[in-house]
Amino acid sequence: MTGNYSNAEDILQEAFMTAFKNLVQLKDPDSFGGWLKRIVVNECIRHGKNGFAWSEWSEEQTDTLADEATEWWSTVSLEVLHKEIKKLPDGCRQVFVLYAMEDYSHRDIATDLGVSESTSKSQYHRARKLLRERINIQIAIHG
Amino acid sequence: MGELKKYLQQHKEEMAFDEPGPLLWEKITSPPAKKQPGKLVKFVARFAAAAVVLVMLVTGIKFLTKEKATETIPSVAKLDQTPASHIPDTAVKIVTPEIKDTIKPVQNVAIKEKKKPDERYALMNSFQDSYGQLVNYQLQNIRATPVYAENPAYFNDFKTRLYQMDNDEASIRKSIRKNGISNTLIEQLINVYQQKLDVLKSLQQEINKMNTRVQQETPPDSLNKFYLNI
Repeated sequence: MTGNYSNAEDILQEAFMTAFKNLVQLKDPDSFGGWLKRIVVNECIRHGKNGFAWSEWSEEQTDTLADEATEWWSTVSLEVLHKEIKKLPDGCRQVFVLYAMEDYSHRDIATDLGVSESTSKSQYHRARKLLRERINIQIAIHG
Repeated sequence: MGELKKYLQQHKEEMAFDEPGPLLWEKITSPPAKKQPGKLVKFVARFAAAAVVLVMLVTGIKFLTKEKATETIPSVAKLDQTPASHIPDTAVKIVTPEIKDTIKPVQNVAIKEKKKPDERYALMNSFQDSYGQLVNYQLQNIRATPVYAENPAYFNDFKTRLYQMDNDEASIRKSIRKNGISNTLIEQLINVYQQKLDVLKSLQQEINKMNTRVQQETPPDSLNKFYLNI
């Protein structure tokens, strides 16, 4: 979610500190994994909340997203896909990871990041578009 | 659920390529570091500095506006006393209209004084100049920075935001011309300038980031270069 290894480590450390401080709030020890993950995600959101450039959603973008037929993402290895996700610009990378990987709804993302639902959608679309373009460049260069 | 999302969900576990290093686990298991109080102190210091600047600005504006209002009060009082000395020791009924007659022109004088150019206009012009110079400096930097590989349309988000902020600025100026200056409008104008600077800074960072990435990955011969027209 941070796109940066050292930031990710800092956030993970802070998340563990938060978890240890608030361990008394955890009622069911079996749900520790999910609870800790939620803390980590919240720390990531808090860390990157400011300074993003957001754009708005338009109907045309909805159409292009729906019309996408080819599964371009399966044409490269998971490692390349992972690398390209990390290189996405800050704002849209967070939205993309929260929506596509952490299974958040656009409404939840909007609430957590303090943006509108349409902004969350537009950032997800932007991330997809950039990923597709960049993966196509990778294929053109490396085959 | 979209196909891409399904695909990523299915392979989520396989995509855990970045494992935390052993040093991090050592840090987590060791006693809390001194880092946190330092961060808190820094934040408090920054917050206090920002608060002081804000208070000084608001106090300055209030002081300038209040000073004018108090200047008019003594002149009303002085003129009000003069006719009273001419009043003969007659009935009270006669005194009342005389006082009213003298007060009316004095009130007009006070109103005329208020219509003098507001000093906040000078204040506004001075920060407009300073912010304007900063914004122009950032714009010139961005215009002079070569951008590699990506489609120029990639930066349309930034352009749209800057365009929207220009519109906001124009509407605030229009409102000042129409309704006169107010502290709220001044604050709105300052906010627009600050937002402009933030967006330009983000744009510059994004260009630099992208240039570094593209230059690392693309052979120099096949690099496409263009300049942003903003």
